[in-house]
Amino acid sequence: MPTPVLDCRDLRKRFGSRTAVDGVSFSVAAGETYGLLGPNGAGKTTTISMICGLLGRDGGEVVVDGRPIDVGSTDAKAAIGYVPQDLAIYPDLSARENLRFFGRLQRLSGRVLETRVGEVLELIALSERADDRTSEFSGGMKRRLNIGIGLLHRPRLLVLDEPTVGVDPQSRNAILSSVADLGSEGLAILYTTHYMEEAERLCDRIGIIDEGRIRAEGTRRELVGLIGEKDRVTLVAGGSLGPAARALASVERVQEATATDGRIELVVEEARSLLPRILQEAAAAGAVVRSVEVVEPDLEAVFLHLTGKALRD
Amino acid sequence: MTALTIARVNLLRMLRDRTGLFFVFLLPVILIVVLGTIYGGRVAPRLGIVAGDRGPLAMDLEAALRSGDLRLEILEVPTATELRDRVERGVLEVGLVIPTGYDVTLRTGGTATITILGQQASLLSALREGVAAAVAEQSARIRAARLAAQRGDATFDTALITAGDIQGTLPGVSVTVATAGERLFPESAGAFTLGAQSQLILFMFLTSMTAATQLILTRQLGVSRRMLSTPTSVATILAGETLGRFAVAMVQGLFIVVLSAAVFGVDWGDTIAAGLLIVAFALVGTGVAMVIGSFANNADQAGTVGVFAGMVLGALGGAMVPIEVFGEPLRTIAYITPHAWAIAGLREVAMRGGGVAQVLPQLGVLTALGVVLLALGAWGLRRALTRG
Repeated sequence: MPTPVLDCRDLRKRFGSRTAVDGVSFSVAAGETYGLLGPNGAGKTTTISMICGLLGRDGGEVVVDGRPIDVGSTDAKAAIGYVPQDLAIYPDLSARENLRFFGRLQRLSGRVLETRVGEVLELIALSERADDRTSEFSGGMKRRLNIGIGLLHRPRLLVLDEPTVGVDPQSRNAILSSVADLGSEGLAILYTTHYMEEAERLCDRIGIIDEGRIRAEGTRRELVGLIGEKDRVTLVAGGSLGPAARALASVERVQEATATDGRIELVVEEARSLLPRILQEAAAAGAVVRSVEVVEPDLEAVFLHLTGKALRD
Repeated sequence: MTALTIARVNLLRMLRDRTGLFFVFLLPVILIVVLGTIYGGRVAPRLGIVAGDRGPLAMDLEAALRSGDLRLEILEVPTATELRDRVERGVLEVGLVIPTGYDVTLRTGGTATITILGQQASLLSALREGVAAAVAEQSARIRAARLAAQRGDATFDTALITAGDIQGTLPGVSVTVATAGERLFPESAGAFTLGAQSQLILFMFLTSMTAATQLILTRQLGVSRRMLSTPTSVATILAGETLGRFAVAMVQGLFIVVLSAAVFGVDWGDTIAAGLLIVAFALVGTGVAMVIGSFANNADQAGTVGVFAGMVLGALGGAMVPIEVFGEPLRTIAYITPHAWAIAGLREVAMRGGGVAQVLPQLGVLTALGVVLLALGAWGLRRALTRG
């Protein structure tokens, strides 16, 4: 694995008698999107606050781009682009003024600052509203500006804390697409969410966090594999279903194949990649397939398995 | 430089707030004008005259009132009823009714009755007495002229002229009126000086309280924490937020000083001494704003506490009613407020010609209070920013 952009080890934080973060460790490489998936109160924001140097920690270490981070370590923070869950923008300033202000705080100035402000306004599709006060913006526009501020200084690590909370579906989709594009451009991204679908769609690796601890970590496939669940494929078909089911049962990675009431039910590994072969074998065995349904085990099931509770509890 | 960037945004936000602009720039001007009118906006007190007679004696009395030491502004009023109404409403300080046939009555040996109207207030009472004295003086001349005419020494008119000529040279009882104690307001105080001084202090403090609300909003929006995620130290953020609030207070203060001097002719006295007092009071306002902005839980709470503190301290400290009219216990108590110290300093500089040396006590108290409040506010904001 290449040198990680973010490396945090054994992070610990207590608030009075309550342990908010209890030994969290993970790393994020360049170009990788790492998701911290957990319910509200799981310790995601506290973890992020320690990573961004907003909050002192009781134990552990955070290294970003090779430099240790703490509340007082100002220079090292230049490598981080922080996008908080709150809309941390001035409502009485325009989008351009907000970008300029935070750009100056990121030590940009002069032509470089103006160029970057223009580029970011293009990126977040707010060029035409750049000089309007943000109090006049829709929720989605404010969210885009919130993200744009985090990208202004070309950080090595982008930290997004639940960036789609309270956003309409259309804006949410646009934000997720933008984040996916940023990941593909080589930016290391730490993304916290309690939406399973977002973690599945965006993240190369996911850490499932609950009660201040990382319960499991890996790719979506690896996490699903932890609980031993397989994909389920249902073929609605006519013709010779019995012979078709027997033929399919002999296909590699098909673990079960049962014919019942005009359907063939299959339990398989990695259904998406195997689907063309399944359809081909079924047709060859005399089944006429009319429709296909694929059900993959999701992270909700993994979370339930690991913590004994639903993700949205 | 980063601290200046943060301070500049604070100032910009203040100027963007249209409601705030009314309170910062318009309301103080209105109040200065109102208070200037109440506490000496006019050059002379106004005397209303109902002239029922236009004869020489009536004109002579009016001329005596115009040229006397009272320096009255004399206005003609058509009827006695209207005169009474205007005096009752305070539009006129004193009223005088010269009856119809005043001249003829006096020339023929009759008694003319002049009515003088005035309110009960002590200052107006003195004015009323002054008008009565002018009437009495004319009465003395008329009696002398009437006596001379009866004895056949001269005609009434000739004797009246002679009496007028020699009246000032005759020996008599000299009455000197002296003011006991310190003058309430120095003679050098311009019409708008009191109002400008009190509104400067009142509004610098109130505007600082508005800045406290802005600080809360910055925290609530998460902007403060976002600043902390940038390569900006906590100390720089604290310095920027403090400078911002200080700049807001100073803009308010300088606006009132410059406008009152340019438009209303207010003389603020020694520039350095007055400037230092304003800076010291701005420090106090900034300190209170930082404390409220750091410890209040939300903007509503900060707004309520800030306005309450501003009004109560302003009233107690003499920023609404001059401290000079307070009774003794309250006048002493007033000095628990920074307002009273600041106003006392400004009075010393503007009205008694004081310099820095004369206002060192006020400067010392205000600066010490400002430093303590700033330290407390900075500690509170640091805690709020970094406790998570």
